[in-house]
Amino acid sequence: MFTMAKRNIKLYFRDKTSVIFSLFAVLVIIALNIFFLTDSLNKGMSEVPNIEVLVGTWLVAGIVAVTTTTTALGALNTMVEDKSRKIYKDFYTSPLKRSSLAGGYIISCVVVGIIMSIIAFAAGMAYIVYLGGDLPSVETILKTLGIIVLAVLANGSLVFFITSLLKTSGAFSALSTVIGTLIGFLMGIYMPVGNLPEGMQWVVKLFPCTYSASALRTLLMDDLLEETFSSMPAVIPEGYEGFTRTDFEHFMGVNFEFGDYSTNLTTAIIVMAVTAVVCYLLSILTVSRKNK
Amino acid sequence: MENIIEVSNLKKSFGEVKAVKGISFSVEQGSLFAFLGVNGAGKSTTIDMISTMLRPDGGSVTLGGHVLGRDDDEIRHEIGIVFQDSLLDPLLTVKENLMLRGSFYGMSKSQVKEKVSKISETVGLGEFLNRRYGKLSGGQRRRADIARALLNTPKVLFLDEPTTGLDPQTRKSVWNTIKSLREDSGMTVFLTTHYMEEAAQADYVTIMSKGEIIARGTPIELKEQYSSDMLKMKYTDKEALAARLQEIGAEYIEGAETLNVKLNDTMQAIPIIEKCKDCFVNFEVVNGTMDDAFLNATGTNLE
Repeated sequence: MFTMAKRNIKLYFRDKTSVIFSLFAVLVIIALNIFFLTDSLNKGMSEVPNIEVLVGTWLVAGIVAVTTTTTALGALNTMVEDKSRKIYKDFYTSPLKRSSLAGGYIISCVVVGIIMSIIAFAAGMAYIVYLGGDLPSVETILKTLGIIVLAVLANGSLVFFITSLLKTSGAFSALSTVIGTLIGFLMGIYMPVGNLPEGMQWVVKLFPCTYSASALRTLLMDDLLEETFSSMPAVIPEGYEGFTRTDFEHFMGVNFEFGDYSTNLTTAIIVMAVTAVVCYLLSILTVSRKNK
Repeated sequence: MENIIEVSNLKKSFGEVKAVKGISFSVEQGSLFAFLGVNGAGKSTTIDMISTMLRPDGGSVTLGGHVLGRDDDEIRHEIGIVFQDSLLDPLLTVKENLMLRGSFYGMSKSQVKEKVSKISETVGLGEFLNRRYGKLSGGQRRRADIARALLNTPKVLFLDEPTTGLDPQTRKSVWNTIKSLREDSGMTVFLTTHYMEEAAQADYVTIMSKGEIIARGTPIELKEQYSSDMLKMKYTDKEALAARLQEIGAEYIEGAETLNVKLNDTMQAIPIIEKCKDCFVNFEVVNGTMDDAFLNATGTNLE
């Protein structure tokens, strides 16, 4: 199982196009932000203290969340290729257990997701320092790493389930493209969820991957929000009277509002854990059903 | 000699299509067994079943005493397969490919290492062992494929059209490798091929068509049964030669500028040549080939 996982990981990193392709969504987000979003967000709230670092951190949290999903998906390219190029014939006629084969795909998907997300996180932190922000505390960094692992497990098993239904590499590239383009919208990263129309807001709130972004934002932005909103009264910009920290959090998709209930870090962790378990079980079901 | 593979009444359908219709055959230990058939005859389906990839609808198979369906893992330990398509990872080096696949057979890392270096010597992988599989030429890839199939020192080596798409020189060198392997190890080779000259080297040939076995025997037996020698005479006057042949009661077929007479054996040609010698300018006696035997047996000969 571990030798198979090692093989799959090697194949992912040696295929330069698949690495770049799995970071496609991240590149789109960075480009969008450089050209439009950060600027317009900052302009709207230029008087809010710390706004550049705050929005920057928001962006980094979103990018890391997207990376957990898209790179895990990228690593599954091997599984689809094995199927479409019939390489599985070589494995099926060897005394290699089917469960080791499936386990190898799952482990490589998780390992690739974690490695790439940690790289994205490190690059993001460098960006924050460049903006003049401070690095988070060691405790926050450790918690963030924990959330990254959980996010990869949740989002990875979701994409694993979807991929296990596919047979051809054509279908897989179509899926990668769709996910690569849409994930920024679905997770509320291209623009703050508060800027989206009502219907779209619901889609974002109900999409399970969103909560990995939510958890990362909550963790990384907590201190910054505290700082900003404690000094708020002195500098409330026009039109933002009565705008509380909670309102801001809901607008930016740090947390979400369901009627009177507001989600928090615990909710996000529960959603991720449930997603991981449910999608993992569903994948086991589809994978074993095909072994006739 | 003992039979290493016994197949009896093996069946497989895909929906309405009956791919394999209850075939039975056996393969003698240490022999080169050739499985012939046109595309879609059911050869690959049969191999897929024997190699534990596809579950049969009915019938039984034993390989080296292991029963298919019950001892699948034991069978997988006993077989090596060179697939028609290249199934190694193009982005890994040949060595990485072999090391990974060697680990499937419950050998320790150092055992696999030893095995890989031994095989690479036998098969001649030397100069491209550390090159990526995807960058190799067709012939080099085939060698790597063969090396992969030998990792577990199989008792039965399946070769599914191993030389399709290779140039004649490479084909020959692949065959030499297989030949020396057989001489050294006494391994049983189960071959499917389109090339009759390859089948002609086999100890035993089985011809399949439309899911059934339609002919079997040694190449010599098959040639005797399904092909015949032919006397070809190039005529000066077609009518005269035809009349002469009718006179002596020889049946003929018209060829391009020739009249051809089927012979039961080569010696029969002599009296016919004697009687017709003033009616042709040129003649030749052609021996029956495996090609003819195959085409006649499968009924695909258009003549």
